Parts: sequence; structure tokens; C-alpha cells
Amino acid sequence: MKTTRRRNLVIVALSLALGLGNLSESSAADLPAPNPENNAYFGDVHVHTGWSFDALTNGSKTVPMDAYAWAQGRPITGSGGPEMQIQTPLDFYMVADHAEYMGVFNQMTNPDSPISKSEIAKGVTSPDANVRLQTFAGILRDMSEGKRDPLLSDPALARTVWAEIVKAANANYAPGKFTTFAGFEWTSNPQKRNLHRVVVFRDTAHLPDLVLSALDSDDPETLWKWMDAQRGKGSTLFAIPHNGNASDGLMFDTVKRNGKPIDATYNKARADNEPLYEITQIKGTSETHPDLSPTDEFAGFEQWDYTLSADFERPTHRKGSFVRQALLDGMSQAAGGAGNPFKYGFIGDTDTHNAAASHEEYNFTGKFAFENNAKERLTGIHGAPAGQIQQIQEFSSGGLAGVWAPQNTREAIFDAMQRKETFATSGPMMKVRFFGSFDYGADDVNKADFVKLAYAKGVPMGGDLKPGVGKAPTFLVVALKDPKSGNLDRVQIVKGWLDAAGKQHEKIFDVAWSGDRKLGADGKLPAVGNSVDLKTATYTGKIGSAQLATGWTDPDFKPGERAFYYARVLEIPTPRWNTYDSARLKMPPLTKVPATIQERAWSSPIWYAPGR
Amino acid sequence: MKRLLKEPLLHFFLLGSALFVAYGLISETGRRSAPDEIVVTVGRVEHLAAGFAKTWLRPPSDAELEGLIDEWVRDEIAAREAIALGLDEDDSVIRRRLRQKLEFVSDDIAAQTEPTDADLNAYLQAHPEAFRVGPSFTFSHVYLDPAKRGDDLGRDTADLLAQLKQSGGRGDPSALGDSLLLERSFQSATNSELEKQFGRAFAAKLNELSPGEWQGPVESGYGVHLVLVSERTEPRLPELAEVRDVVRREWVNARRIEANERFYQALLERYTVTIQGPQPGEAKSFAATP
Repeated sequence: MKTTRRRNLVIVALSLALGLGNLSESSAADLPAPNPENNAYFGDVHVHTGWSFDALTNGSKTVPMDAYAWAQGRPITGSGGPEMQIQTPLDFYMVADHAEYMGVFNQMTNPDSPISKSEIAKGVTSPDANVRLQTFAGILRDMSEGKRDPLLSDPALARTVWAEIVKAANANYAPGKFTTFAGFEWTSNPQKRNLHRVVVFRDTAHLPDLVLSALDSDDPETLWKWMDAQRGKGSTLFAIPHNGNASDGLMFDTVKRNGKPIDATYNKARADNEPLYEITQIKGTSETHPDLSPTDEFAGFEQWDYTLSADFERPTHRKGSFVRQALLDGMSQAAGGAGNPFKYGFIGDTDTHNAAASHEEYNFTGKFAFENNAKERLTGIHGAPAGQIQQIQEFSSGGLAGVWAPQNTREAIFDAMQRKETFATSGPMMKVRFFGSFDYGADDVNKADFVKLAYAKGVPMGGDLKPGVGKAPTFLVVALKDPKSGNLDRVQIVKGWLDAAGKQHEKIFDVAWSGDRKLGADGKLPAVGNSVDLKTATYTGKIGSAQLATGWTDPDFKPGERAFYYARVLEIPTPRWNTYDSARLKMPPLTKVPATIQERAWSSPIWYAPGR
Repeated sequence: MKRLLKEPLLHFFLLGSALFVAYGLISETGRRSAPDEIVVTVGRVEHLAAGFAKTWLRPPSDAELEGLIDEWVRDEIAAREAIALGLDEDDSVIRRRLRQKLEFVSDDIAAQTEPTDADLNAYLQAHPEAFRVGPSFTFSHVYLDPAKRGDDLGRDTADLLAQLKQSGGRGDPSALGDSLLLERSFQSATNSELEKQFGRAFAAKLNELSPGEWQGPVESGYGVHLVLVSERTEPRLPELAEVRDVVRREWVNARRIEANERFYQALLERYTVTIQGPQPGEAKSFAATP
């Protein structure tokens, strides 16, 4: 204990010297006791500010401090548009600016730039910051060439954007109330195919001085090696890939960047470094595609079917782009003895490029700053190409990460993410509990202490079913609506499995639904209906349920077959952001994108593998 | 901590570093001996090696260092050729980046000495709306599901309320009502927490309830609730000691914004800005006003 503290002191001192400063420490007094049954916390770990070059050039005037202020409920600059303010503050948030431009101040270590000590000494000495700045402004262009100062070439003195980002995260961390993380985005786009990853650190006491840029290498294996090197120095971190839908088959490819098939080493590195996948965000949802899941009537949700190329190119490879197929491919890898590289839990995020997450469909402010103008995001900036206008109309409002954690601290939320006790939503704060076991009764879900019982006898989302003998597993699922969003239509369980011959299958089961609908002869549940009035962008609470709960036993279970199960919860149709906008502006509804949306949540999967 | 912040050498380094960057911005070409000569100095090589070591936590091998140098030379040649072609001009990416970097520099120079408690207290008193806490509520609730109760909802609610009132706070209300994936009781929940867990209407209504007895129905985003508020804390402005970190953060941020605005105004004073248009021939000109 003593050594740790002393080391922290040294780190504080070092951090100060580096301009990191103000490490806010958890104060035990403020912290509510941990809840052993876990609370649902909602947040977003994929947020860009004006410190990302593409956010900056698209007009964002925001800085990380703004992002954290916004997530806690304070209004922030609209960068020219209206001020932005969230309606329901979030529990956690992470600025993940692009790593590629975080080393801004490397000129500081430029050993060849001449500068004179005396210039500095005579220039800026006042204790008053305003006087210092005035003096500095005055001498900016009058500085003359001098001799170089070897002290200034010491890399330890380089002030980086990264250090500033960490500082903002620390200044806004309030354990028990609001959690922030230090992190960044590693932005690899080989041939405009999206291989992006967001990297999250568990604490800010063990951070690298510099983070890895994809300019150095676009190969995820290089990122994982770098992450391993950080672990060697005490960091705890993971990476979260996103937007497989924009990767044209590369995200979950079974071939490596060097052209060779993935193998046990690759699979282990991927699984060790990447517990979660960001299944939904502004640039679309990559759960599955209708081409891959022709029997899934709810596939094709917010697809944003583009690569990252500037000319609105459409991807042509479906396999390798969507996570449900990847879960199957991962099990096939495991069945072949190479281990499962794609054992992903799910979260949602936004990937906003304007500090404000925009996941509230009724409070949408766009991905880029110029979209923070309802008319421009609806009909495009004057003179913009039609393809770009369409791409922006197809942007989702973005998703949220739901995390089941005992308390709202960095440690608790990070650890819950690490063990995949997470779910994704397409924006609303719906809560989903999902447990699996061979020892549940279907009625357990109705018991008053069901959560306690569920943990005691089974595993939560993100876990592996413990072996059972001679029976089928039962899953307990409860979904609660967001009180500010639509009622719930149904709960589904998505099952994927490998048969005895190793062939991949998927099937979707409707397991709980609102009203007195009956399953049709084709096994399908009739649609819940649609109460949206497009003119006023309103809907009623007359259809759907506030809560749906059930226990479901797999009717097709075979003990010898690998399988995964995850819950998908659908809301009734509510207005899509464009419908809220057109109603407010009294403009005709858009015709090329849906007017309504069935918001949804996805639990992390629970896996089953036959015992050895 | 304070001593470090007051350390003149640290100031010197920070300011020096800042000036150093600024100098780099404005005299990009001054250091070069000839346009077609590239000298990779010892300092440059050390710098590349140091950057690698910071990223990979080990020094580069000879082959890696050679790669870094090759890559740097490539960057340098490309940068020189691109600048010679004028590719850096009128490029909004480069312009915005330069502006951002200058703002980072001025941020550094604006970096404040630590505020005193008196500074922070004054800020706290001047911005009470930013730091006020509460009201908060400690309460229990019983939920009734309209989908389940149907036409009986009104009657069931009235019956249940009578039953709860009669029990006078004794007995276990958690066995009553319909199930909901929410806690049955909340400790010191703020308005924001109430809105998040129950919706806006519920939060507004709870603010009107007097503590001490079962009341309702209170509507939420889920249905209706009967509520017993046991304690209500009135809104208050916290003491500085309770919120010092937050006040300090806001104070520093406000000073930074203010100092940077003055910095810009000082620069602006040195320019005469002429804006032509919107009508041709109707150019207006003005001197900068601080």
C-alpha cells in the first residue's frame, strides 16, 4: 500500500511537470456502496471533439472539456449552430480523439529549431497571465534567430494533445457520479476500409506518454503488440473495433492483413485485446445484413451501407463486415482448434465529431458541426453533392453503451466491459437483463429476488454457460423501456450454432411481446403497429409494453453443438430524427430514409461449448 | 504540488517550449542551409529514436532507426516540394491546424498560477446556478402496470392507496403492485436521476409531494405509481470545501477562455482588416477594437 502511494506521488509530480496535473482521486466518502446485483449505467466511449482533425475541419469549435460538460448536462457551444444540451445526462463518457494528430507539439522537441533563452527570459516574465499573453503577442513576429537550447529537445518536456486529453478526463471524473476514461481512436483505413478501434485505459496513473498512430501501421496486430507493451509497463487497456459495415469484409476477415489465414496466435491476440464490439453508432449498425440473414425480418436496420471513400462507394463484401456472422465464424475457428477470435460482447456509441453524443433521437444535433443546423442536415449544405446529402440523411442518431456494474467508477465500469456484462442500444436508455443456465426454471424470472437467483445459478450476458447434463439451457430476460422513449414491442433471442458437420446456422425466436398477439402459422409474430403521426412527430403509449420478461428454454438444443445466444429488444415505431426535424421546421418528410425507427437493444451473447 | 507549480524553472520550460513551437510555425524555412540539401542532424536522429522509444517502450533497433530516418527524409522532401507548389495555401485543414496550434501555445502561456480559496469562493458565489445541488428525494414507490390492469387501473390504484395509507408505513410494500426492473426505493435521488429513471412528468410531480404519507397516482413513463416520500432535501449552494475541485476546474477554464480572447484581441490590434463585399465597390474597412 505504501509503495503504491509513493509511486502515485511520483506520478503526480511527473504529471505536473508534463502538464497533466489534477489527478482527481476517488474519494471514498462520496461513493455509494457497490450493488452486488449491479446497476445499469449508460455512456459513450467514442466521442470526438475539435481536437480531431476531421471534426475541426468540419467546423467543430469544441474541446474535450466541452464534451464532458455536455455529458453531465451543461449546455455547450453549438460551433455556429444552436447551443447543444443533453436531456438526460450520461453516467460515463470518453473523448476518443484520433491518435494520428495527438503528437501536435513535436516541434517542441525539434532539436534544430533555433531559439534563444534570453528571448524567452526578456519576453514573458509577468506573473499575470494576461500580461504574459500580451507580451507574447507583441514579440511573436519579432523573435530573432538564436542558438538552440539543448534542454528544450528533451522529449520529457513535450506537451502533447494526448496529455491535455488526459487532463480533461481527470478534471471531470467524479467517482460515484460521473466516470471518464483516458483513451483514443486508432484510425486504420486501408483502402478506405474501416478497421478503426477505440482504445480505453482503466486508470490514468499508468498511461503511455505517446499513443500509437495508424500512420505508423494500419495492421491491428501492430496495435495489439503495442497494447501488450503498455501492459508490460502497468497499463490496463482494451480496444473496441467499430463499423465493420464500412469495412467491405475486412473487419472480421479470416485472412490477416499480410494475406495469410488467421491462426491461433492471431485469434488469441484478438480475443485478449478486444472483449467488445461497437455494434451501432452514427455510421450505422453492423449486427447483420439482409443478405446474410434473409430470415431475419428486422435485419437491415440503420445500415449506412458505404465504405469510407469520398465518392460514396458501396461495399460489396457482406461476410467479414457484420458481427453476427463473425460470432459464427469465431465458433468455427474454435471448433477447428485455433481458438475464438470473435468472442465479442456488444456496446453502442455515437462517434460524434462535435463533442455532443446526439443519441437522443428527439434531440439530434448531427455527427459533424455543420449538421448542427436542422435544415442543413435534412437537405444538405447548398451545393453539396447528392451522394453526400444522402449519406448524411442515412446517419443514425447513434447508440449508447449499457453496462451492468456495481458502482459508477472507472474500475467498476471498465471491469464490467472487460467481462462483457454490457448491452448496446440504438440510443434510448432501455435496460436489458439477460442470464443463462441449465439450472433455471422458466418461472424464475417472476420471482421477487430473480436477479440474485439468476447470478447464483447461472451467468449474465457476456458469459459462458456452465456445463449441464441431459437438459437444455434456460435464459431469463427482462427488458425495461426508457421512460422517455417508446414502449417495447418484443424481445427476441438470436441463436447461432454449428451443427455436427460444422455447418453454421442462425435462428431468431420471439420470446416475449406486448398485447395479445399470437404467433402466426409461419412462426412469425404480427407487427406491433405504428402510432407515429408524421406531421407532429408524436406517438402514443397505446401499443407496446413498459416491461417484458420471460424465461425461455432452447427447444432445439443439442449438447454436442457450439452455440451463442443474445437478446434483442425492439421498441414500437417512433419518429426517426429526420421526422422530428421536418415536423419542427414544417418541411415535408424525407423520402429516401425511413420516417420511423424501431429503436432496439442488443445484449452481449452467452456462449455454449460442449464439455471436453 | 503548489511548489512545483510555482517553480520558475518549470515556467521557463513551459514558456520556452511554447515559444519554441511558435517560432517553428513562423520561421519554418529559416533553419535550412540550402533548398536542395537535407541534413539529418544528430539531434534529429535522437528525436526520432526518442519518439519511437516513447511509443514502444524500448529503443529502436538499427533497422528500425534506419526506417524512421528514411521515412523522415521522405516526409521532408514531400513537404518541401508540396510547399514549393503552394499546396499548403488555402488549405482549410492546414489553416485550422495552425490556428489550433497557436491556441495551444497561448493556452500554455495563459496557464494560471493556482487560484486561492478566496478566488474560488468568489467564483462559486458569482455562479450559484452552476454549482447548486438538489433538491433530492428519498422515497418508496409501488408500480401499477396499465397494460396488466386494463380498465381496473383506476380502481386498483385507489384500493392500493387506501391499503398503503392504512398500514401507516408499517408492513412491506415491496410485495404490492406489479413488477418493474427498478429499485423499490431510492436514496437521495436528484431531479436528474428521477427524470432518467421515471421520466419528466414523474420528476415534476414528485417535487410537489409533501413528505410523510403515501400519495398518488403519480404517472411515469411506465404507468402509474403510489409514492411515499420519506425525506426531501432542499436545494442549496454547497460550501467550497465540498466542490473545490469542480469550482477550480471551472475557474481555470473560464480564465483560460478569457486570457485567450485577450490574446486574440492583442493580435487583432496589429492588423487592419478590410472586408470587401457583399456588393462590389462597397468595401468597408475598420480598425480592430479590443
